[in-house]
Amino acid sequence: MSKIGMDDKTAILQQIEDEMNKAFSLERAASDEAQAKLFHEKGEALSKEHDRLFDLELEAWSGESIDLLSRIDTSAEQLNEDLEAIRQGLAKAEHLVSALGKLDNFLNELLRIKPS
Amino acid sequence: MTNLRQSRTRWAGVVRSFFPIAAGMMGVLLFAGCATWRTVNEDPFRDFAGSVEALRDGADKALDFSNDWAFERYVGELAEHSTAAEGQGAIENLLFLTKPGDPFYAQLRETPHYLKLRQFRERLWALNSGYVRYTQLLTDLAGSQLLAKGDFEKMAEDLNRNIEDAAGALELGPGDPRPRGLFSTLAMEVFRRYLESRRQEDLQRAIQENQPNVETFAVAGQRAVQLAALGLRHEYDLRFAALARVLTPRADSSARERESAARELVALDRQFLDQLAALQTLSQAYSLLPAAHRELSSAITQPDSFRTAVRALYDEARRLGRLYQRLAEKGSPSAAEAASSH
Repeated sequence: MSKIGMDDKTAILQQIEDEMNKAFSLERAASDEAQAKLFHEKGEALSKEHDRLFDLELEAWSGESIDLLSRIDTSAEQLNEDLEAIRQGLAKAEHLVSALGKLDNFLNELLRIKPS
Repeated sequence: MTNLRQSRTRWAGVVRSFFPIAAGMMGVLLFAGCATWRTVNEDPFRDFAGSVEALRDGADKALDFSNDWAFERYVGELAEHSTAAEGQGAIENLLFLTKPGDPFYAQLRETPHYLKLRQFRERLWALNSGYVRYTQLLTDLAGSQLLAKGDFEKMAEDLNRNIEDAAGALELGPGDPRPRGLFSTLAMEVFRRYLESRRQEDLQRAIQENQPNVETFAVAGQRAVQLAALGLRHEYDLRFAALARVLTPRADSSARERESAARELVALDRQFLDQLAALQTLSQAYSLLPAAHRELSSAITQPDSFRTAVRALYDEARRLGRLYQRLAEKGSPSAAEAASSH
Protein backbone atom coordinates (compact mmCIF):
# COMPACT_ATOMS: atom_id res chain seq x y z
CA MET A 1 0.00 0.00 0.00
CA SER A 2 3.05 2.22 0.28
CA LYS A 3 2.91 2.90 -3.45
CA ILE A 4 -0.45 4.59 -3.18
CA GLY A 5 0.96 7.94 -2.08
CA MET A 6 3.82 8.12 -4.58
CA ASP A 7 4.54 11.62 -5.75
CA ASP A 8 6.94 10.89 -8.65
CA LYS A 9 4.07 9.65 -10.84
CA THR A 10 2.20 12.85 -10.10
CA ALA A 11 5.26 14.85 -11.12
CA ILE A 12 5.53 12.93 -14.43
CA LEU A 13 1.84 13.47 -15.18
CA GLN A 14 2.14 17.17 -14.40
CA GLN A 15 5.20 17.45 -16.63
CA ILE A 16 3.31 15.87 -19.54
CA GLU A 17 0.39 18.19 -18.84
CA ASP A 18 2.70 21.23 -18.97
CA GLU A 19 4.27 20.02 -22.23
CA MET A 20 0.81 19.54 -23.71
CA ASN A 21 -0.29 23.02 -22.70
CA LYS A 22 2.90 24.44 -24.17
CA ALA A 23 2.24 22.65 -27.48
CA PHE A 24 -1.35 23.97 -27.62
CA SER A 25 -0.12 27.44 -26.75
CA LEU A 26 2.42 27.30 -29.60
CA GLU A 27 -0.37 26.08 -31.86
CA ARG A 28 -2.40 29.20 -31.03
CA ALA A 29 0.62 31.44 -31.60
CA ALA A 30 1.69 29.73 -34.86
CA SER A 31 1.99 31.98 -37.89
CA ASP A 32 0.87 29.42 -40.46
CA GLU A 33 -1.46 26.40 -40.64
CA ALA A 34 1.29 23.84 -41.19
CA GLN A 35 3.11 24.92 -38.04
CA ALA A 36 -0.16 25.05 -36.08
CA LYS A 37 -1.05 21.53 -37.25
CA LEU A 38 2.34 20.28 -36.11
CA PHE A 39 1.92 21.68 -32.58
CA HIS A 40 -1.69 20.51 -32.46
CA GLU A 41 -0.64 16.94 -33.23
CA LYS A 42 2.12 17.15 -30.65
CA GLY A 43 -0.39 18.34 -28.05
CA GLU A 44 -2.79 15.51 -28.90
CA ALA A 45 -0.02 12.92 -28.70
CA LEU A 46 0.94 14.24 -25.26
CA SER A 47 -2.71 14.10 -24.19
CA LYS A 48 -2.86 10.42 -25.24
CA GLU A 49 0.31 9.73 -23.29
CA HIS A 50 -1.23 11.45 -20.27
CA ASP A 51 -4.36 9.29 -20.59
CA ARG A 52 -2.24 6.13 -20.88
CA LEU A 53 -0.14 6.86 -17.77
CA PHE A 54 -3.14 8.17 -15.88
CA ASP A 55 -5.06 4.95 -16.62
CA LEU A 56 -2.13 2.93 -15.27
CA GLU A 57 -2.21 5.01 -12.08
CA LEU A 58 -5.95 4.49 -11.73
CA GLU A 59 -5.49 0.74 -12.17
CA ALA A 60 -2.64 0.65 -9.65
CA TRP A 61 -4.74 2.56 -7.12
CA SER A 62 -7.74 0.28 -7.69
CA GLY A 63 -5.63 -2.87 -7.29
CA GLU A 64 -4.14 -1.69 -4.00
CA SER A 65 -7.51 -0.48 -2.72
CA ILE A 66 -8.83 -4.06 -2.95
CA ASP A 67 -6.24 -5.17 -0.39
CA LEU A 68 -7.08 -2.26 1.90
CA LEU A 69 -10.81 -2.90 1.57
CA SER A 70 -10.27 -6.51 2.56
CA ARG A 71 -8.42 -5.35 5.71
CA ILE A 72 -11.22 -2.91 6.56
CA ASP A 73 -13.80 -5.68 6.04
CA THR A 74 -11.88 -7.93 8.44
CA SER A 75 -11.94 -5.18 11.09
CA ALA A 76 -15.67 -4.73 10.56
CA GLU A 77 -16.19 -8.49 11.00
CA GLN A 78 -14.27 -8.39 14.27
CA LEU A 79 -16.40 -5.50 15.51
CA ASN A 80 -19.53 -7.42 14.54
CA GLU A 81 -18.32 -10.35 16.64
CA ASP A 82 -17.61 -8.03 19.60
CA LEU A 83 -21.10 -6.59 19.35
CA GLU A 84 -22.64 -10.06 19.17
CA ALA A 85 -20.63 -11.21 22.22
CA ILE A 86 -21.91 -8.26 24.25
CA ARG A 87 -25.49 -8.89 23.13
CA GLN A 88 -25.14 -12.55 24.15
CA GLY A 89 -23.63 -11.43 27.47
CA LEU A 90 -26.66 -9.24 27.99
CA ALA A 91 -28.98 -12.20 27.37
CA LYS A 92 -26.99 -14.34 29.86
CA ALA A 93 -27.16 -11.53 32.41
CA GLU A 94 -30.93 -11.49 32.10
CA HIS A 95 -31.08 -15.25 32.76
CA LEU A 96 -28.79 -15.05 35.76
CA VAL A 97 -30.53 -12.05 37.24
CA SER A 98 -33.83 -13.85 36.86
CA ALA A 99 -32.39 -16.91 38.68
CA LEU A 100 -31.04 -14.69 41.45
CA GLY A 101 -34.45 -13.08 41.71
CA LYS A 102 -35.78 -16.49 42.72
CA LEU A 103 -33.10 -16.70 45.40
CA ASP A 104 -34.17 -13.27 46.62
CA ASN A 105 -37.74 -14.52 46.82
CA PHE A 106 -36.60 -17.45 48.91
CA LEU A 107 -34.67 -15.14 51.25
CA ASN A 108 -37.67 -12.89 51.57
CA GLU A 109 -39.74 -15.89 52.50
CA LEU A 110 -37.25 -16.79 55.23
CA LEU A 111 -37.32 -13.20 56.50
CA ARG A 112 -41.10 -13.49 56.88
CA ILE A 113 -40.73 -16.24 59.45
CA LYS A 114 -40.50 -14.76 62.93
CA PRO A 115 -38.08 -16.49 65.30
CA SER A 116 -40.02 -18.14 68.10
CA MET B 1 -42.94 -30.73 61.23
CA THR B 2 -41.62 -29.10 64.40
CA ASN B 3 -38.02 -29.78 63.25
CA LEU B 4 -38.73 -28.17 59.88
CA ARG B 5 -40.27 -25.17 61.62
CA GLN B 6 -37.22 -24.87 63.93
CA SER B 7 -34.81 -25.18 60.99
CA ARG B 8 -36.60 -22.45 58.98
CA THR B 9 -36.66 -20.20 62.04
CA ARG B 10 -32.92 -20.70 62.52
CA TRP B 11 -32.25 -19.82 58.83
CA ALA B 12 -34.44 -16.77 59.16
CA GLY B 13 -32.27 -15.62 62.04
CA VAL B 14 -29.13 -16.12 59.97
CA VAL B 15 -30.61 -14.17 57.10
CA ARG B 16 -31.72 -11.38 59.42
CA SER B 17 -28.20 -11.00 60.79
CA PHE B 18 -26.62 -11.32 57.32
CA PHE B 19 -29.04 -8.92 55.66
CA PRO B 20 -27.80 -5.57 57.02
CA ILE B 21 -24.15 -6.50 56.29
CA ALA B 22 -24.91 -7.54 52.70
CA ALA B 23 -27.12 -4.53 52.12
CA GLY B 24 -24.41 -2.27 53.47
CA MET B 25 -21.78 -3.89 51.21
CA MET B 26 -24.00 -3.49 48.20
CA GLY B 27 -24.59 0.14 49.09
CA VAL B 28 -20.85 0.79 49.37
CA LEU B 29 -20.21 -0.98 46.06
CA LEU B 30 -22.90 0.96 44.24
CA PHE B 31 -21.86 4.27 45.78
CA ALA B 32 -18.21 3.72 44.88
CA GLY B 33 -19.29 2.77 41.38
CA CYS B 34 -21.44 5.86 40.96
CA ALA B 35 -18.53 8.05 42.00
CA THR B 36 -15.93 6.63 39.56
CA TRP B 37 -17.82 4.74 36.85
CA ARG B 38 -17.94 6.40 33.46
CA THR B 39 -19.63 5.26 30.34
CA VAL B 40 -18.51 5.86 26.73
CA ASN B 41 -19.35 9.21 25.16
CA GLU B 42 -20.91 8.21 21.86
CA ASP B 43 -21.14 11.71 20.35
CA PRO B 44 -17.59 11.79 18.86
CA PHE B 45 -18.19 8.34 17.36
CA ARG B 46 -21.39 9.60 15.74
CA ASP B 47 -19.65 12.72 14.42
CA PHE B 48 -16.78 10.62 13.09
CA ALA B 49 -19.09 8.17 11.28
CA GLY B 50 -21.18 11.02 9.85
CA SER B 51 -18.03 12.76 8.57
CA VAL B 52 -16.78 9.63 6.84
CA GLU B 53 -20.15 9.21 5.16
CA ALA B 54 -20.05 12.84 3.96
CA LEU B 55 -16.53 12.23 2.67
CA ARG B 56 -17.67 9.19 0.68
CA ASP B 57 -20.54 11.13 -0.90
CA GLY B 58 -18.29 14.13 -1.63
CA ALA B 59 -15.66 11.98 -3.33
CA ASP B 60 -18.33 10.36 -5.46
CA LYS B 61 -19.74 13.71 -6.57
CA ALA B 62 -16.26 15.03 -7.36
CA LEU B 63 -15.53 12.08 -9.63
CA ASP B 64 -18.98 12.27 -11.19
CA PHE B 65 -18.14 15.74 -12.49
CA SER B 66 -14.73 14.97 -14.02
CA ASN B 67 -16.10 11.67 -15.38
CA ASP B 68 -18.74 13.64 -17.30
CA TRP B 69 -16.05 15.82 -18.87
CA ALA B 70 -14.00 12.73 -19.80
CA PHE B 71 -17.08 11.05 -21.32
CA GLU B 72 -17.93 14.13 -23.40
CA ARG B 73 -14.34 14.31 -24.64
CA TYR B 74 -14.44 10.64 -25.61
CA VAL B 75 -17.65 11.10 -27.60
CA GLY B 76 -16.27 14.28 -29.23
CA GLU B 77 -13.01 12.62 -30.26
CA LEU B 78 -14.86 9.57 -31.56
CA ALA B 79 -16.97 11.73 -33.85
CA GLU B 80 -14.06 13.99 -34.87
CA HIS B 81 -11.70 11.15 -35.73
CA SER B 82 -14.28 8.88 -37.36
CA THR B 83 -13.05 9.87 -40.82
CA ALA B 84 -9.50 8.71 -40.07
CA ALA B 85 -8.27 5.12 -39.79
CA GLU B 86 -7.39 5.65 -36.12
CA GLY B 87 -10.93 6.82 -35.41
CA GLN B 88 -12.33 3.71 -37.12
CA GLY B 89 -10.22 1.61 -34.77
CA ALA B 90 -11.84 3.34 -31.79
CA ILE B 91 -15.30 2.64 -33.22
CA GLU B 92 -14.44 -1.04 -33.80
CA ASN B 93 -13.27 -1.18 -30.21
CA LEU B 94 -16.75 -0.18 -29.02
CA LEU B 95 -18.15 -3.52 -30.19
CA PHE B 96 -18.39 -5.97 -27.29
CA LEU B 97 -16.58 -9.27 -27.89
CA THR B 98 -18.27 -12.65 -27.54
CA LYS B 99 -17.05 -15.79 -25.78
CA PRO B 100 -18.17 -19.26 -26.90
CA GLY B 101 -20.49 -20.87 -24.33
CA ASP B 102 -21.00 -17.68 -22.32
CA PRO B 103 -24.08 -15.73 -23.47
CA PHE B 104 -23.51 -13.08 -20.78
CA TYR B 105 -19.95 -12.26 -21.79
CA ALA B 106 -19.38 -8.63 -22.78
CA GLN B 107 -15.81 -7.39 -22.95
CA LEU B 108 -14.14 -4.67 -24.99
CA ARG B 109 -10.76 -5.19 -26.65
CA GLU B 110 -9.46 -2.15 -24.88
CA THR B 111 -11.20 -0.30 -22.03
CA PRO B 112 -11.66 3.38 -22.98
CA HIS B 113 -10.30 6.03 -20.63
CA TYR B 114 -13.75 7.22 -19.53
CA LEU B 115 -14.69 3.65 -18.51
CA LYS B 116 -11.50 3.30 -16.47
CA LEU B 117 -12.45 6.50 -14.68
CA ARG B 118 -15.88 5.02 -13.98
CA GLN B 119 -14.29 1.84 -12.57
CA PHE B 120 -12.02 3.99 -10.41
CA ARG B 121 -15.03 5.85 -9.08
CA GLU B 122 -16.77 2.55 -8.23
CA ARG B 123 -13.67 1.27 -6.41
CA LEU B 124 -13.37 4.48 -4.40
CA TRP B 125 -17.04 4.24 -3.47
CA ALA B 126 -16.55 0.60 -2.38
CA LEU B 127 -13.49 1.48 -0.30
CA ASN B 128 -15.19 4.44 1.35
CA SER B 129 -18.32 2.37 1.98
CA GLY B 130 -16.23 -0.32 3.67
CA TYR B 131 -14.84 2.34 5.93
CA VAL B 132 -18.31 3.81 6.55
CA ARG B 133 -19.42 0.35 7.67
CA TYR B 134 -16.47 0.11 10.07
CA THR B 135 -17.26 3.52 11.61
CA GLN B 136 -20.95 2.64 11.93
CA LEU B 137 -20.08 -0.55 13.81
CA LEU B 138 -17.76 1.44 16.07
CA THR B 139 -20.66 3.80 16.75
CA ASP B 140 -22.98 0.85 17.48
CA LEU B 141 -20.46 -0.53 19.95
CA ALA B 142 -20.04 2.89 21.59
CA GLY B 143 -23.76 3.69 21.42
CA SER B 144 -25.93 4.11 24.49
CA GLN B 145 -28.52 1.80 22.93
CA LEU B 146 -26.28 -1.22 23.39
CA LEU B 147 -26.06 -1.13 27.18
CA ALA B 148 -28.87 1.27 27.87
CA LYS B 149 -29.19 1.88 31.60
CA GLY B 150 -32.91 1.89 31.00
CA ASP B 151 -32.81 -1.81 30.05
CA PHE B 152 -31.18 -2.68 33.34
CA GLU B 153 -33.60 -0.50 35.25
CA LYS B 154 -36.48 -2.28 33.52
CA MET B 155 -35.00 -5.63 34.55
CA ALA B 156 -34.78 -4.34 38.13
CA GLU B 157 -38.38 -3.14 38.02
CA ASP B 158 -39.56 -6.52 36.72
CA LEU B 159 -37.68 -8.32 39.46
CA ASN B 160 -38.97 -6.01 42.17
CA ARG B 161 -42.49 -6.49 40.89
CA ASN B 162 -42.02 -10.27 41.06
CA ILE B 163 -40.68 -9.99 44.57
CA GLU B 164 -43.57 -7.75 45.61
CA ASP B 165 -45.97 -10.30 44.11
CA ALA B 166 -44.20 -13.08 46.00
CA ALA B 167 -44.41 -11.04 49.20
CA GLY B 168 -48.11 -10.52 48.57
CA ALA B 169 -48.62 -14.24 48.07
CA LEU B 170 -46.79 -14.89 51.33
CA GLU B 171 -49.17 -12.45 53.06
CA LEU B 172 -46.42 -10.47 54.75
CA GLY B 173 -47.79 -8.32 57.50
CA PRO B 174 -47.07 -4.62 58.14
CA GLY B 175 -44.44 -5.50 60.76
CA ASP B 176 -42.59 -7.86 58.48
CA PRO B 177 -39.31 -6.81 56.87
CA ARG B 178 -39.70 -5.22 53.42
CA PRO B 179 -38.96 -7.67 50.62
CA ARG B 180 -35.63 -6.93 48.89
CA GLY B 181 -34.02 -7.92 45.59
CA LEU B 182 -30.62 -8.19 47.24
CA PHE B 183 -28.74 -10.61 44.98
CA SER B 184 -30.56 -9.80 41.79
CA THR B 185 -29.96 -6.05 42.11
CA LEU B 186 -26.29 -6.57 42.91
CA ALA B 187 -25.88 -9.06 40.06
CA MET B 188 -27.49 -6.65 37.65
CA GLU B 189 -25.06 -3.90 38.56
CA VAL B 190 -22.09 -6.26 38.42
CA PHE B 191 -23.16 -7.47 34.97
CA ARG B 192 -23.74 -3.98 33.69
CA ARG B 193 -20.25 -3.02 34.75
CA TYR B 194 -18.75 -6.17 33.31
CA LEU B 195 -20.41 -5.56 29.93
CA GLU B 196 -19.49 -1.87 30.02
CA SER B 197 -15.89 -2.76 30.75
CA ARG B 198 -15.93 -5.39 27.98
CA ARG B 199 -17.38 -2.82 25.56
CA GLN B 200 -14.69 -0.29 26.46
CA GLU B 201 -11.93 -2.89 26.03
CA ASP B 202 -13.33 -3.94 22.64
CA LEU B 203 -13.51 -0.33 21.49
CA GLN B 204 -9.99 0.49 22.65
CA ARG B 205 -8.63 -2.63 20.96
CA ALA B 206 -10.50 -1.90 17.71
CA ILE B 207 -9.19 1.68 17.61
CA GLN B 208 -5.61 0.69 18.38
CA GLU B 209 -5.52 -2.25 15.96
CA ASN B 210 -7.10 -0.28 13.14
CA GLN B 211 -5.06 2.87 13.50
CA PRO B 212 -2.49 1.71 10.86
CA ASN B 213 -5.35 0.77 8.49
CA VAL B 214 -6.95 4.17 8.99
CA GLU B 215 -3.64 5.85 8.24
CA THR B 216 -3.29 3.83 5.02
CA PHE B 217 -6.91 4.55 4.18
CA ALA B 218 -6.34 8.29 4.63
CA VAL B 219 -3.30 8.14 2.31
CA ALA B 220 -5.30 6.12 -0.24
CA GLY B 221 -8.15 8.63 -0.03
CA GLN B 222 -5.79 11.57 -0.50
CA ARG B 223 -4.14 9.83 -3.43
CA ALA B 224 -7.55 9.19 -5.00
CA VAL B 225 -8.39 12.89 -4.63
CA GLN B 226 -4.99 13.82 -6.11
CA LEU B 227 -5.74 11.56 -9.10
CA ALA B 228 -9.18 13.12 -9.41
CA ALA B 229 -7.55 16.58 -9.44
CA LEU B 230 -5.03 15.49 -12.08
CA GLY B 231 -7.84 14.06 -14.21
CA LEU B 232 -9.94 17.18 -13.78
CA ARG B 233 -6.98 19.40 -14.72
CA HIS B 234 -6.38 17.38 -17.90
CA GLU B 235 -10.00 17.66 -18.98
CA TYR B 236 -9.98 21.37 -18.15
CA ASP B 237 -6.78 22.00 -20.17
CA LEU B 238 -8.21 20.19 -23.21
CA ARG B 239 -11.48 22.12 -23.00
CA PHE B 240 -9.56 25.35 -22.58
CA ALA B 241 -7.41 24.57 -25.66
CA ALA B 242 -10.48 23.79 -27.76
CA LEU B 243 -12.23 27.04 -26.79
CA ALA B 244 -9.08 29.17 -27.07
CA ARG B 245 -8.54 27.78 -30.60
CA VAL B 246 -11.78 29.48 -31.66
CA LEU B 247 -10.42 32.77 -30.31
CA THR B 248 -7.06 32.83 -32.16
CA PRO B 249 -6.52 35.52 -34.84
CA ARG B 250 -6.03 32.78 -37.48
CA ALA B 251 -9.33 31.07 -36.66
CA ASP B 252 -12.12 31.51 -39.14
CA SER B 253 -14.67 32.28 -36.41
CA SER B 254 -17.59 34.70 -36.61
CA ALA B 255 -18.04 37.43 -33.98
CA ARG B 256 -20.91 35.46 -32.51
CA GLU B 257 -18.81 32.29 -32.27
CA ARG B 258 -16.02 34.24 -30.62
CA GLU B 259 -18.37 35.75 -28.05
CA SER B 260 -19.87 32.37 -27.28
CA ALA B 261 -16.40 30.80 -26.90
CA ALA B 262 -15.25 33.66 -24.64
CA ARG B 263 -18.33 33.17 -22.45
CA GLU B 264 -17.71 29.42 -22.22
CA LEU B 265 -14.05 30.01 -21.43
CA VAL B 266 -14.89 32.22 -18.44
CA ALA B 267 -17.57 29.75 -17.25
CA LEU B 268 -15.05 26.93 -17.62
CA ASP B 269 -12.55 28.73 -15.38
CA ARG B 270 -15.25 29.23 -12.77
CA GLN B 271 -16.35 25.58 -12.87
CA PHE B 272 -12.78 24.41 -12.65
CA LEU B 273 -12.10 26.59 -9.58
CA ASP B 274 -15.27 25.36 -7.88
CA GLN B 275 -14.39 21.72 -8.43
CA LEU B 276 -10.80 22.24 -7.38
CA ALA B 277 -11.94 23.91 -4.14
CA ALA B 278 -14.19 20.94 -3.40
CA LEU B 279 -11.35 18.50 -4.09
CA GLN B 280 -9.03 20.47 -1.84
CA THR B 281 -11.57 20.31 1.01
CA LEU B 282 -11.95 16.59 0.38
CA SER B 283 -8.19 16.07 0.56
CA GLN B 284 -8.01 18.08 3.79
CA ALA B 285 -10.79 15.96 5.30
CA TYR B 286 -8.97 12.71 4.41
CA SER B 287 -5.80 14.06 6.02
CA LEU B 288 -7.67 14.66 9.30
CA LEU B 289 -8.95 11.09 9.56
CA PRO B 290 -6.01 9.43 11.41
CA ALA B 291 -5.87 12.05 14.19
CA ALA B 292 -9.65 12.01 14.57
CA HIS B 293 -9.68 8.20 14.77
CA ARG B 294 -6.91 8.25 17.38
CA GLU B 295 -8.86 10.80 19.39
CA LEU B 296 -11.83 8.45 19.69
CA SER B 297 -9.88 6.64 22.42
CA SER B 298 -10.29 9.66 24.65
CA ALA B 299 -14.06 9.42 24.26
CA ILE B 300 -13.72 6.16 26.22
CA THR B 301 -11.21 7.18 28.88
CA GLN B 302 -12.19 10.86 29.20
CA PRO B 303 -15.80 11.14 28.03
CA ASP B 304 -16.00 14.89 28.70
CA SER B 305 -12.71 15.92 27.06
CA PHE B 306 -12.75 18.21 24.03
CA ARG B 307 -11.77 16.54 20.79
CA THR B 308 -10.13 18.94 18.34
CA ALA B 309 -9.43 16.56 15.44
CA VAL B 310 -12.91 14.99 15.47
CA ARG B 311 -14.41 18.48 15.55
CA ALA B 312 -12.13 19.65 12.69
CA LEU B 313 -13.05 16.61 10.61
CA TYR B 314 -16.73 17.17 11.28
CA ASP B 315 -16.41 20.84 10.25
CA GLU B 316 -14.59 19.89 7.02
CA ALA B 317 -17.28 17.32 6.21
CA ARG B 318 -20.01 19.91 6.73
CA ARG B 319 -18.12 22.43 4.62
CA LEU B 320 -17.81 19.85 1.86
CA GLY B 321 -21.55 19.20 2.03
CA ARG B 322 -22.25 22.93 1.71
CA LEU B 323 -19.85 23.25 -1.24
CA TYR B 324 -21.60 20.50 -3.17
CA GLN B 325 -25.00 21.85 -2.28
CA ARG B 326 -24.01 25.24 -3.72
CA LEU B 327 -22.48 23.61 -6.79
CA ALA B 328 -25.78 21.83 -7.39
CA GLU B 329 -27.78 25.04 -7.17
CA LYS B 330 -27.97 26.90 -10.45
CA GLY B 331 -26.62 30.42 -10.27
CA SER B 332 -25.23 29.88 -6.82
CA PRO B 333 -22.19 31.78 -5.60
CA SER B 334 -18.90 30.21 -6.56
CA ALA B 335 -17.82 27.32 -4.36
CA ALA B 336 -14.38 28.84 -4.33
CA GLU B 337 -15.84 32.02 -2.82
CA ALA B 338 -17.82 29.93 -0.35
CA ALA B 339 -14.69 28.02 0.60
CA SER B 340 -12.67 31.17 1.14
CA SER B 341 -15.41 32.70 3.30
CA HIS B 342 -14.96 29.95 5.97
